[in-house]
Amino acid sequence: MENVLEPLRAAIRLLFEVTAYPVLAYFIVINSFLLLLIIFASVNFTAHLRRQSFAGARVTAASPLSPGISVLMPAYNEGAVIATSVRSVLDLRYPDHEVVVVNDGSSDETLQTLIDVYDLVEDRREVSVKVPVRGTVRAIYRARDTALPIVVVDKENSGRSDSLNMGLNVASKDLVVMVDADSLLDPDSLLVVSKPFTDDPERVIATGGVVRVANGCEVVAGRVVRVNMPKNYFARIQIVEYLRSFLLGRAGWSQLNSLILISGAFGMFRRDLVTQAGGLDPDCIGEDFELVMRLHRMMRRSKRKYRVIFIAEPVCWTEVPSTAAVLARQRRRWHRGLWEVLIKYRGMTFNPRYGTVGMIALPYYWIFELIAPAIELFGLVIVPLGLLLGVVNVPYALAFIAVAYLYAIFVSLMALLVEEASFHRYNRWGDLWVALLVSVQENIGYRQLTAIWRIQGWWAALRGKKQVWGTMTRTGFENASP
Amino acid sequence: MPHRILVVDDDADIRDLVSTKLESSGYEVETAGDGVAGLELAINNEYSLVISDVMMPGMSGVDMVRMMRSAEPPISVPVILLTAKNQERDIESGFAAGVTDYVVKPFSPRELAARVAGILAR
Amino acid sequence: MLVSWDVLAVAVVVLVVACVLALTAVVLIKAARHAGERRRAVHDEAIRTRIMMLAVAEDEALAKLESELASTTGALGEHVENTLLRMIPEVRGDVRGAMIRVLAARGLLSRSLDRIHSRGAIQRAAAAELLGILGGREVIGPLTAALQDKSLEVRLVAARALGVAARPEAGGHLVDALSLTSGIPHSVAATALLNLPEQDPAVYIEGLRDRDAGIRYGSAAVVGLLLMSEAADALFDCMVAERGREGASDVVIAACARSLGRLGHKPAISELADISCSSAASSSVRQAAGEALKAMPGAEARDVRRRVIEHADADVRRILVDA
Repeated sequence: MENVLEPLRAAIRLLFEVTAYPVLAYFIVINSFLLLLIIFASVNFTAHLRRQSFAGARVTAASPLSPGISVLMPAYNEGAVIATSVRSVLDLRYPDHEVVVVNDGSSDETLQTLIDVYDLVEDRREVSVKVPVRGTVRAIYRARDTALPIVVVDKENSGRSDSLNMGLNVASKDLVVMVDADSLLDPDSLLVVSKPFTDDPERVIATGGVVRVANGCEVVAGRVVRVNMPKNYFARIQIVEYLRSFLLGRAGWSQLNSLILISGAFGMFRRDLVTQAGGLDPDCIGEDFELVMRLHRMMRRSKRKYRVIFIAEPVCWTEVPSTAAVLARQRRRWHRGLWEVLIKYRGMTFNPRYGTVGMIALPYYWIFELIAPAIELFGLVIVPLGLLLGVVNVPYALAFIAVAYLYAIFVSLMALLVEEASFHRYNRWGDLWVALLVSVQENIGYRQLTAIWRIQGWWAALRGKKQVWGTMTRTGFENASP
Repeated sequence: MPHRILVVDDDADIRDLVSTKLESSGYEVETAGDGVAGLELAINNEYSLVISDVMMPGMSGVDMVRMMRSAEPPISVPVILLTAKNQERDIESGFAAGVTDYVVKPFSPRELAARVAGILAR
Repeated sequence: MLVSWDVLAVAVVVLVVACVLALTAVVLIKAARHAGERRRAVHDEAIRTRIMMLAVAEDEALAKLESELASTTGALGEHVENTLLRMIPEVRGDVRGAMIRVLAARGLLSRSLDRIHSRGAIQRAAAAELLGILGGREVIGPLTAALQDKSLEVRLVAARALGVAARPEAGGHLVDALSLTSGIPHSVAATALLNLPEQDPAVYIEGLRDRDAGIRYGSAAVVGLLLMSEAADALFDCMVAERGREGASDVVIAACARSLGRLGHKPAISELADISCSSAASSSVRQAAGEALKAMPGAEARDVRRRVIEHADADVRRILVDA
């Protein structure tokens, strides 16, 4: 027995010795980077909050010269919510916006509901094709009452991206914003997210809003009226996760003018540029990420000055997966999308021609987003093995784990701190204790599970499997129980 | 017996300003902070008039009127909507929903009180 | 070689301290905010009824109420100011005047007039915003001066504030602020212009002939939205001249077209028809011309529309088909 274990022990020891310093270096770099992002994010927030008193939303809301916005809403079997979603978008506070619903071959009553509720009639006028579309269009509808700015495209099922491309062809306003039918928008959301376009019309090409967790919140007629912590374990953890990635991550990147990931749930773009770039790539899983990368490449190559801006103010709420199965599917999908986009734009990585996007943002996503779960799993296997075989002693292993997890907790606390100092939507003391509990809790189980799921997604991408998880026409929230 | 008026607005400042003005004109005023609460009060009480904001979290003023008119039995109380400048669409959909009159923000409390008196005199 | 014990131990200690500090900060901020909310509620209780009475009180009672509100001090005084600043944009008429008098008597006007010269751009912008809300003749000078501020943010807020203050004498300055060199977005300066009373069409007729494309664009847009029919001919000339210009601006042509449509200026019909089918014009310009044609009244316009539909691109056809 002993002589069988001895070579293994030697191998593990060697592995420990070889990897100890690289892992430590990785750890130091990723954490320092996060700290830097936190600092940049704080600068971003301070600037935003100090300007609140003269944001001018009231004037913009009443101006006939504010840029028009087309709200693109793909819908696949949304019969239960579609009428409310459309109504809530029509009621948003903005002087000039239209709703473009693209019914992606729903098999339920989505289309009929819209026809009945909004008194739609068929619109036989032709549509010029600016972005190629795969799904065949069956009919286009608009309201009999021409004052009601709604267009509904009925087409055969061809996926979310293709539906959005169809929406781009029908859209008539200068700005487009992509929303999901189950997203809940605040009444001022269009004003807030379009503000950078009004303030700097020459350079701003895209803005991305924050997405917040709607689970547990009180919702009336498509609006969040009261923010609560959800009871569900997975949803709670995702609240802290979303605060971290949005409040600290994206605000920091935006400050560096290298925001490369805009959430598909609430991203606003200049229509002419998205059309020029060719719309969304229907073959790409991370289609939102891919589009933003394509815009970055287009603008950098043509040497035009441009900005992609993150909007920190919470205006969009979405239901997040509340079961392990749905969450697993979402995370596999996200990681697969990440890999596909990084591979597709590998030529931009470490390419000084693409400025901070190529030199900082892309390398960061490669090293710290893509590879992170592999390192996590490596630690998860090697530390217990080392313990078992007596290569390392118990206190040492515990200290090692404590460093990793304490740092994670510290970053979560920083996110809570920023939220508390800025938007403080979770107002009660109870909310804070729950958030604290969750920051500790997520390190035991959740963190490891997501690492596994992400590796699975990556693995699936490497093997080039198509459609492994069924027809994923929507963002992956479709089975989330309310 | 004084007229009872329901004021629905999510902005407490406006709610208080309007009710102070109307109370000084001798009306009895009740208030609600959103469309849902307003609808509930309108269903369970008898009012001579409702004054409501359009943009409110949850149910909008126009939606509230729509639901009042389609309730069983329908609530046919006159409604004045407070709407923001340049929101003609609200005015159109409001009239379609059965709104009686409009006052555009920024509004003059004195003028609002005069409109109220005019409608109640009909 | 393994990472030494000491490094790990130090890291653990540092991180624990950092976590405790962060947590303490969160708790302190939350506690401070809750305390602030409670304090505001107390102030509100004390003063709210009297603020609302501004809408009711008359003559002597009003004067007494105003001076009472103006003489509040400390945190309570601050609360009065914040409440009034929140309410002023929502109201007009007598009550607005009373509220502004209270703020002026509290010294907010003179404080803002000082602060618009402070060193920090954020302070200057905040002061400009306040001056716009307070309005009156004396704020126009400092605000128009702020249109030349070295910070773009201050210039932008000053332009918007001039619109909120809504005094006719700001007109010429705001037209100048439309220029490309000002850096102020066109939509902001033009929106402010839309809000001014008693406007002189001559200013815009001149603006339509300006060398600066920003001024031409803004003048064209405002003329249409304010339905200034006196400027219709100049608007038409501007559109024709723009098409022939070296480096013609699409936004100017589109704005002229839209405004001509809004004014229903019939002499422009054939030119608009030409633009809507022109391959030299960009898609957005063609569509603007199409929209304008759609809005034109009369039999001639109907015939022209019918003719244009046969030659125009799909987007323009889409606009005109159901006109």
